Amino acid sequence: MALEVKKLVGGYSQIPVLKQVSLTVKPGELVGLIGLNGAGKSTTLNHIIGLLRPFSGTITLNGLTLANNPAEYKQQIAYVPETPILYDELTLREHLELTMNAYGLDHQAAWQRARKLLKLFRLDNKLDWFPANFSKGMKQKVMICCAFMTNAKLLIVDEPFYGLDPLAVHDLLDLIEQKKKEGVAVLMSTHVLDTAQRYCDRFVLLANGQVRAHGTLAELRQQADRPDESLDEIYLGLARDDQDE
Amino acid sequence: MSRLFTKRRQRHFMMLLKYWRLVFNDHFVIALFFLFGALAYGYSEWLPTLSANQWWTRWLLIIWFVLLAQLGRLATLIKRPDPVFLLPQVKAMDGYLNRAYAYSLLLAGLMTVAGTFAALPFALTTERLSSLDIVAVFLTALVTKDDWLFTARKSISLRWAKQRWRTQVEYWLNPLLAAATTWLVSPLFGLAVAVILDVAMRLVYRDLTIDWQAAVRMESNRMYSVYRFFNLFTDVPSVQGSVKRRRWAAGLIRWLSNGNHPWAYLYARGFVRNTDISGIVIRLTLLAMVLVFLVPVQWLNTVLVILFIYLIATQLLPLYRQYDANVFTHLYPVQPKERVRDFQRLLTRVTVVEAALIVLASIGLNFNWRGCLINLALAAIEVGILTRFYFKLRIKKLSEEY
Repeated sequence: MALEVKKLVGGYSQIPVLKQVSLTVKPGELVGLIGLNGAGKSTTLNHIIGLLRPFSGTITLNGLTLANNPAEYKQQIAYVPETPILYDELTLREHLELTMNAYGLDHQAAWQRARKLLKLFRLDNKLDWFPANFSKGMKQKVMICCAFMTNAKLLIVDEPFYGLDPLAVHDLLDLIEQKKKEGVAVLMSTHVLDTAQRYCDRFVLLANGQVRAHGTLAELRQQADRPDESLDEIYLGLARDDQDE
Repeated sequence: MSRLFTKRRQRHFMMLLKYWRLVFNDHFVIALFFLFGALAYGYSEWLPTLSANQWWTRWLLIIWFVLLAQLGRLATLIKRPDPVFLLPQVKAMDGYLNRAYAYSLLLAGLMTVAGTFAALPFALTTERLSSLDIVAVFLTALVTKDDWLFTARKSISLRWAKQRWRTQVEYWLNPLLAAATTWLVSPLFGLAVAVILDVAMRLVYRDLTIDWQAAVRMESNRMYSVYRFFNLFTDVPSVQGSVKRRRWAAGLIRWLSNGNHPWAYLYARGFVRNTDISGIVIRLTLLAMVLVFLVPVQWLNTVLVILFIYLIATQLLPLYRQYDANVFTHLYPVQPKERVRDFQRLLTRVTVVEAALIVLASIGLNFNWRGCLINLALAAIEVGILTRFYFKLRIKKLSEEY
């Protein structure tokens, strides 16, 4: 088991947003974290990457926890945030170099991987530009390059499709596929449900800070007793049920 | 609408108060006290050496009063969303702006009076002035300021906003005319010129319906410079300095970074390229160099050297938390200890360079080797204390706050 979240209770202030969230991601598996706005997707991810401290519950990554081995734990994670976060003072080249330095990567090997990614996203001629002035989609591509260049064991991807052009969405899905083959665990939050349905191996459906359902598409259909319906319809059904309560 | 202005003014005051409290922190008050004392002392030493009838004294007075008129801007407290939310209230905005004008005039008037007071001892030494003349000088300065503020007021009206160059000319030419007549002809004539200009402006520029874009631009520029001032002393969230690539400084960046250390990599680039941080360090260093170059009194010179080294060093500290808002700095698998060490390294290097430059400049016009050596010894001790103890303490405090 690469990532194991057990009975996580957490949130930003005193009030818990997440209530007993449990989920797992195995190596080589893409798990989709599905939920409406405010369901707790980003909060869950923020706990996993260590920005928030859990009130109770545990998060372990290949046997490591943030409290006991902070550096080793962080070493294994790469993160693509929902909105691109860049340094105003660094050029694209320097963003990549900083990431290499921070993760202690071998520069030559990392640059080889980086060049491939830059070429794929047509950024290879903008190495000396300041990405802070890029468009939203291009910024997002920079974030993807930085994260996918590392050799992290767990990739956390928060709403990656927003702002990307269709070609880039396709390329990103290919990249995730490649990472999976290398044995990387991927946890992706999204509400683009038809894409999620096609690419994710398993799903965790969040609503109001709780896991409402989890499993493969077949398992979800079985649980919801809707054998032919798409992920979209299953989720809408669940979400409506919650609102009626 | 005038209630709206009153409410905003109160909130504005509270915000200013909050920041002033941070500006006048423990050490800065002492530094300011010394600086002010030194200036006053220098001024009083300088006055008796002046003899009347030197050609430049009148021009100095003219320059002083023209610059004084530029001090104190029109504070409208208009906010960015106003054009959307207050759009139906265009007529009522006149009342709002009148309140804003009165408030600005009061503040600017106080500054003008203070500035005139400061110039008075000088004027009385070099000119022969009757008490009526003195009253006229004060009134001229105030009327000129009113004229200046009215220029600002009409520059944010739909009808006159486009004539930017004309506004700029009026900002400078009107005070110049009034000040020149005051000191080259007579203060009473100066007052007459100022009043005529003020009245003429109001007759020429009527129809002052607000130009939202210009008003928002002017106010956000003003607030930006206010925040920038406060940002010298503390962190103001809304101030983000602009970034310049500065390719020529690549060597400096390399010298300030530390191998593959990520934090040193980031801090070195942040320091060199962020125009706010490097700008203030460069400006203060240059100012210090000029001051210690010109001040011949040995003890004052040494005090200035020591004060400025300290002052500049403290300006660097906010850089430590510059990147706290960036998630990735929390995600990097790097020990916090390394961050502190890297930051301290950068601080030490910058402080040593800046101290060396100031000491070098303190040699002065007449090559005072002895004074320069004394400064060097004291500065070395100070830099040692700053880097070994003071920075450690402050960084510890900064990291605990988070």
